[in-house]
Amino acid sequence: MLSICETQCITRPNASASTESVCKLLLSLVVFSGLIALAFLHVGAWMVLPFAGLELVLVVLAFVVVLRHSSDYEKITFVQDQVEIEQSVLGEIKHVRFQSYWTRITLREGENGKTSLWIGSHHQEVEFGRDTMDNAQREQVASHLKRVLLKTK
Amino acid sequence: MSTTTVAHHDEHHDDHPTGIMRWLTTTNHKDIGTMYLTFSLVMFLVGGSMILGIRAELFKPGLQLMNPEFFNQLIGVHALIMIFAALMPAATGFANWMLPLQIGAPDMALPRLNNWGFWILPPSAILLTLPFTLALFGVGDGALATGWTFYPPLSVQGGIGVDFAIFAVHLLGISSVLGSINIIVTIYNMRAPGMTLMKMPMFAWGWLITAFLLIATIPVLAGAVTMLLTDRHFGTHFFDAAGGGDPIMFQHLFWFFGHPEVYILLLPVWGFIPQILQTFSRKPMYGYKAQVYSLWSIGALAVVVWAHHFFTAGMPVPALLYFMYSTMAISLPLAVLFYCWIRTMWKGSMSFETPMLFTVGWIILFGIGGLTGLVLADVAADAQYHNSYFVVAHFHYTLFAGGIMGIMAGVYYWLPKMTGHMYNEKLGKTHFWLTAISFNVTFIPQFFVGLAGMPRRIPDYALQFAEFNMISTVGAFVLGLSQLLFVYIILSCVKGGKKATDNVWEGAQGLEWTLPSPPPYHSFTEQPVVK
Repeated sequence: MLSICETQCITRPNASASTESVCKLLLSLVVFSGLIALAFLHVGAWMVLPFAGLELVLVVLAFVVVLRHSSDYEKITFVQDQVEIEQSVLGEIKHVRFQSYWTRITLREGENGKTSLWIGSHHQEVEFGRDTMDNAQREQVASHLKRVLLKTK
Repeated sequence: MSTTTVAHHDEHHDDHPTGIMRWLTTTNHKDIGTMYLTFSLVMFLVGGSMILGIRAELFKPGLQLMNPEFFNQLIGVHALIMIFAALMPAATGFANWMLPLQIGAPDMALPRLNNWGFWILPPSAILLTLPFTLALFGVGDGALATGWTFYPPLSVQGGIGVDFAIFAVHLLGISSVLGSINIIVTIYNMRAPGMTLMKMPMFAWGWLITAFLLIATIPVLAGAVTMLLTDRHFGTHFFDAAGGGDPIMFQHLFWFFGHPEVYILLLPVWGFIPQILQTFSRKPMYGYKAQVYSLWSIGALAVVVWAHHFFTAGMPVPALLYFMYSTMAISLPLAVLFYCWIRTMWKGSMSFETPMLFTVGWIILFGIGGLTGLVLADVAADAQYHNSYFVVAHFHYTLFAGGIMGIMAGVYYWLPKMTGHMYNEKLGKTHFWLTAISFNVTFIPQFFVGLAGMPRRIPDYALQFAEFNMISTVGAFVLGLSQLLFVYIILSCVKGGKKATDNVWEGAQGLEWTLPSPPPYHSFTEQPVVK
């Protein structure tokens, strides 16, 4: 998922479920499985309850593990004469700053036809949008960044 | 103005292990799908061999080949293997292979969980069949002889085969739950941009509802067999009337899982059958929304009709009436599905390649299974037919024709995509006709002997049933042997053959057909967008 404005590019991994829809799903599963387990508890089959509970914990954990990545993002921001690249993975945020004048944008093509977008300066490079953009989007971002950088020079 | 720095481009993403480690440690959805399908095929042959032993015994009245105890063990293990180790893994194998491709995801959401889910299966299959081997060495008295239903008090009094089966069922349940969780998370969170729920392929809908059903019902089965285990070894009396327990409660618990299990086996098939129909009818699927809502209705009704499996156990009349009417209500959404399937073909430019032959055959034979189910849903009629061969014939029309023949349609439909080679069409059609004819030769006589009063699960029977049993046994052997042709077709297709194109079938639609045949190890390196 890519959004571009004049001074910022943000890309995020594709996540088709919103936190709200997942909460609704989990709630319905808890209610449904919980009712079944409680009904059997009522007639004396109490051993269904711990298995249902364990299973629901697993379902919730699975969504937690996956949704943790849904807040990942990569962001490029132009701040005065600086280009700031911010990459957030599992809540850990990494910042890299380059001076605009010296910043280079490179689009390389791999053997499999997949391109990679690199932003760098002075022997330091950062790859941007490796798993979150396709070739067309990387080209779009590269040309946008080059255009904005030209303006700053 | 370009940098001279050579970036350290990390290419490990495109590597994958080879040899045995590829299969042991793989987290790739296609590899795991292949393992599920292979396991399913092997267990299908194992379970099928067992039933050929049973049919050989039933070829004529009297005891010929085995004692009644061993006969019962073969029946119970045959059913458990076919349901848990053949049909379910086949559907899971398709889910692993095709769901990510169909929804535009690079892999399943939880790949390691996926690997564990599969590798739990082989030990559970060993647990199921090990008691046969142990008995040869004088340990125990063979596998469980209770049928797949584990009914107490027989299961409480049974030998170590019951314990092995209980642990096997636990492992199979864990595997199913892990698979279901993975599928729910994948479908919810990894759909390609633009693919809303109501744009999903029908197969994804079928599997999503299946996964919900598994999540809802597996704990009930797990609880039931654990209570059985504690009754056997730890002095509890859950199902012991003498200790204040209730053996009928086990039947409620078991069938609360067992009836949805039928739909768990069928819903994935109902998912991809419309896709095959639209491909070979060369027109859009009819009634997409109606089919989705029907699948949901069937999923919902599946958990409220369980007691029709034991009408004769003794229930209050209002309960009998409720379960009769609710069971019959399932025929309404099912009729909608049949209508949509037939309308998809209506005035289409149809061609009858092997997947389509299996699909059309499937509709007819599964229709017979559904209609005979209506007969059994009737309380008064069921009192006559319960525990007879009519029931055996009915559920084989449902689960062999409706389940396994559906899976075969799916195999022929996707095999060229999976392997990159076309299978031998002539042999495929031969396999279809052999299977369809011999299936009917096997099971139509069972309707007749059932209506005439022949009970199921007996190694000996009255002389009046001899001719129909002979015909049924001949049909079963032809059916069994014709599956070797199926194995040959698959193996030769894996080995080589005419190169399959990306789209394979002229009318095929969906994201999986946009990829090469076979798809690359990492399916979608670029995120597809659905318009």
